[in-house]
Amino acid sequence: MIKLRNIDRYIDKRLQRNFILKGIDLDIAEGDFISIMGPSGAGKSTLLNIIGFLDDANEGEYYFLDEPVHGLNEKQKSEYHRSYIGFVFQAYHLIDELTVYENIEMPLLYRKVKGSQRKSMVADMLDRFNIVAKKDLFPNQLSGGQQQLVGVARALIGSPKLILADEPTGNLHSDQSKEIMETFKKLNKEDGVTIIQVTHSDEMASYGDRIINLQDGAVTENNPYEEE
Amino acid sequence: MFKNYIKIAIRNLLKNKAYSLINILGLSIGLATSLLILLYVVNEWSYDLFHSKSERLFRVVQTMESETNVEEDATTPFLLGPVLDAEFPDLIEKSVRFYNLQENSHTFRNKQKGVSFKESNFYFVDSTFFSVFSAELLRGSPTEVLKNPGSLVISEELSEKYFGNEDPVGKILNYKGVIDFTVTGVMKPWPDRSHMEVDLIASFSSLNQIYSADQEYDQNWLWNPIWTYLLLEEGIDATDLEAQLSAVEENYFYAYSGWPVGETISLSLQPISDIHLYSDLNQEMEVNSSDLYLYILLVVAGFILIIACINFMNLSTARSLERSREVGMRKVLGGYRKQLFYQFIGESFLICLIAIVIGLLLVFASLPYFGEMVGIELSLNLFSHFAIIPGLLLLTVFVGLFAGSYPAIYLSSFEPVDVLKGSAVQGKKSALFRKMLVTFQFTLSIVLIIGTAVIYKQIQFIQNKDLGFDESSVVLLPTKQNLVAWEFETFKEKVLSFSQIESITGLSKIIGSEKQENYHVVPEKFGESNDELNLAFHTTHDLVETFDLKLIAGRSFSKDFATDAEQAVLINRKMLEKLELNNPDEALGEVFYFYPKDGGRKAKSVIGVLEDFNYASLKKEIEPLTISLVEGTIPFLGYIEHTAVEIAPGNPKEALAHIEKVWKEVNPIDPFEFQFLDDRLAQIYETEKTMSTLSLAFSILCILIASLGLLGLASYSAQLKEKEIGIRKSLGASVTDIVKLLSKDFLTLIAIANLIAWPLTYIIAQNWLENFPYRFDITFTLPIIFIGSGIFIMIIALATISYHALKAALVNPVDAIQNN
Ligand SMILES: Nc1ncnc2c1ncn2[C@@H]1O[C@H](COP(=O)(O)OP(=O)(O)O)[C@@H](O)[C@H]1O
Ligand SMILES: [Mg+2]
Repeated sequence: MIKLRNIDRYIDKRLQRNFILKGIDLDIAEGDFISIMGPSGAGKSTLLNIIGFLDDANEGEYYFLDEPVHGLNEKQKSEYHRSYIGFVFQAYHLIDELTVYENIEMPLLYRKVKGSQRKSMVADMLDRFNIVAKKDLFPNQLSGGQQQLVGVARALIGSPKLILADEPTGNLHSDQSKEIMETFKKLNKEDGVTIIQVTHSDEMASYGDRIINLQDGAVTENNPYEEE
Repeated sequence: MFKNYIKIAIRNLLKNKAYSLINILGLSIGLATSLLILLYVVNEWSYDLFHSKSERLFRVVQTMESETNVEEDATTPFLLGPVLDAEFPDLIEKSVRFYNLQENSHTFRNKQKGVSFKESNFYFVDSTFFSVFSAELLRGSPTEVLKNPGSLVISEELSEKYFGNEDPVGKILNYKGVIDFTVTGVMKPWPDRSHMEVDLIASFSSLNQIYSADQEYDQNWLWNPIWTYLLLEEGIDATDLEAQLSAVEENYFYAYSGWPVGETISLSLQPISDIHLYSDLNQEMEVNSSDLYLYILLVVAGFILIIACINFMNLSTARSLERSREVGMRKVLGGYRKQLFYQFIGESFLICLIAIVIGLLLVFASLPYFGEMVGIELSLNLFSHFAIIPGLLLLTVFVGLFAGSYPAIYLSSFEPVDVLKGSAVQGKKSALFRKMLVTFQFTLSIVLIIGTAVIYKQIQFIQNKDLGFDESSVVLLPTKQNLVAWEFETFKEKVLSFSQIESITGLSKIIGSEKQENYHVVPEKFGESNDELNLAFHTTHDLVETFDLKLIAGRSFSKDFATDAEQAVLINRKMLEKLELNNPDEALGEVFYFYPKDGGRKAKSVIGVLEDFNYASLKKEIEPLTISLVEGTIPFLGYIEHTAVEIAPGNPKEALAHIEKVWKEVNPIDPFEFQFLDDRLAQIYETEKTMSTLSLAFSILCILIASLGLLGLASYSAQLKEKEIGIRKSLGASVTDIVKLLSKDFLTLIAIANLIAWPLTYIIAQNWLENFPYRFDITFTLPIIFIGSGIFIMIIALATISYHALKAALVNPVDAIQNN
């Protein structure tokens, strides 16, 4: 599904070129559950952003579903965001002025889902994450774990085929973290959703099938578990 | 989705109440001001459009030209209307004549009730009146009410005044003791937005009860006391008719037996809706207005709206950080940039909509005061015209687009990655743009302040300027061809018999007023063939005494010299210079040739030289002048139009009562009317005065709106620098240091605004002042005004900023640091 070839991402500073990512080759198949690990500043978020079309590589080729990404226009990228890719962020990034219900509903609005259908879909999500009682609260009235549940619910409501999660459990207790990981695992196994997550925790990484280690912008170790 | 947008817009408004208030209030004030101005301008532009046939309605006017004089009159001879009807039946549907006996005051009496009043808006009109003008009758039928001689139609208001609650139809109103009119109809009030006012109209045929048939008053093509209006046939172009009018000029005017040799006549048509703004002829029914100041007002309205929009832009972009996460997330979830742009533009529409509602409330609240300021009764009825509400919505959309486009483009440009990284969303570019906008706002404000100061200063200068004559305690009486003119010497003697009266004289034109006349007057020195025009003023004895004019050589007119009227002339210093003489005494005995209206040539020699005085308004430079003496009834009737009476200073009441008594003895027909000369002269600057009041009001509003914006920005920058301020304070910075830190940027911008505004206003002020030959000393005063307004706006800005700077400076530093 995802094919990265010799991807470079760099920042030019006066005479110096700072590489954030250098020579990344990566293949990810549909149904994979991948954990990207590595020290802070290694370029994990940048890689995830490139995969999710939020950032562009400076060099190299990127094929998404066998289509060259550099050939996609704004609108096509947005179409993928609407119907194919779901994002989860470490800082949740919920919209402060919208309630839990409205935050979850938002992707459906951009997908122009009908009112009644929207209602039932949001209700399902609230149910699934046990946050029905919180639906009229605003994000700042929730704990971090609850906010991230809303973030996940928002990512899942569009039934994406690919979930990109950047340290989704970074700010959460282990119980909450596990809950979210279980959800991912279930989605991956039952619905065949492809998941790429960034994490610092080995425990969280172990929910995935494969680990990619990133160091100074380069892949150092691909899939350590399989080698063991 | 729409609901979602509205929700988030409203929640954002409520979240930052202070900002929202500043934003909305600024826009509301700006919109209200612009609406008021627009209302006034539209009002001025819509004169006489209420006539349903206004596009086909024209007034015939005439220009009579001789070698020495050009006379442009709004009035025409009696027979012109019927003649045009007969000559051009295919072009003209109907004509209507108006005649007021050349009087402005008409006495009507209800004998039964014993009430009588003076009316000024009375005309004899043709019976076609009601089919040409859109006047509505409450009583009577349009085709019948003006059919018979002696018929009178009165307005609803007058019906109440003369008849109370009784039905006036069929009742008698006596006119000047001469005609008993029978009221045949009652009209709805004549709209204010007309170049004429009409309260009473009588059938034109009633005139045969005033003039006897053998007078043939209506056969004279030289006498032009009639306002003639034409309703053209549908689809007829006025220029088609105009092109054929020369035949009428030839066959009627020039063919008239009494037509003076050498005079030319030309007729033209004025669209009725143009009269109010573009016509300034002799014998206008009312004083008309001019469109120049309308354009200036529209520019000012634009300024104020721009300043209010800039507030909106500045505050929205300054606070963009708060919306950046939302933008990033919406894009991550699949929102197009276009959709985000629409969302933010929509928000600015919403704010504009709220602002326009508040603005309308402000308009309604301030309309009476504004009307008083501009001297017009204005009203606003949202439903009076189908286009008003759509127009307001259009304005909302326009302002929303103008104010909202830049913020919407800017906000929708945020990229999710930048938001995710929390990296500098606060672009340097937007900060610079904001600074430019603030500078622009303050430049406009300063231009307005300086403009106000300059106008005010100039008006003050004109009012205090020594005119070279004493305008105080002089009473003017209209004496054009009335009984006082016939009996002037008797009148004069009787008026002077009272101790409070100092002197009395007749004038061809009002001294100090705008209109003066050119005549063919040639100094012998320049040769007889010289055909240049010079100003020639005509007066009776005692001019110099009445106005305290200063004689610098020779003597004034005197009864001791019986030949003065025929052979003597006074000149002013300017004429002396024109004659290239240095010493006033040298001018004595110089000969001038006069070519009077009735033909022939008169030689007059200079008997005295007067110091220059402003016989025309201060809008005109003093020119070389000759003053001739008029003696005897016939010359008086020919030249003198006003009588000036100088009364003793102090309480004028007794003196006026005496003059009125004498007037009534000499002239029982015309009502006694008077005007003080200084009041009359002040009228000349009425427009300038209104402008100065308006520009004062608008510059105050301008500063208010700009300061509101500054208040918002200052509070925002204080918020941004909260941490820096905390650290600085913990390091021992004083409150003054903090205020300085926050004010420095803004004050620099205002200083720049001053530097831009000064040369700009210098050019504008100089241009405007060029209209006035007499103006205050710019070189000295203008820099003072510049620096004064600069300091003024600095103080206002500093006060605005200091509020937030002080607030920030007084916060406990530990709180500030911890909060971040
Ligand atoms: N726009 C940028 N400008 C400069 N440096 C950047 C930018 N984006 C990322 N970086 C740098 O690139 C490196 C990788 O960042 P990131 O992908 O966020 O790492 P990680 O998610 O692995 O912690 C960091 O050192 C970061 O400072
Ligand atoms: Mg990261």
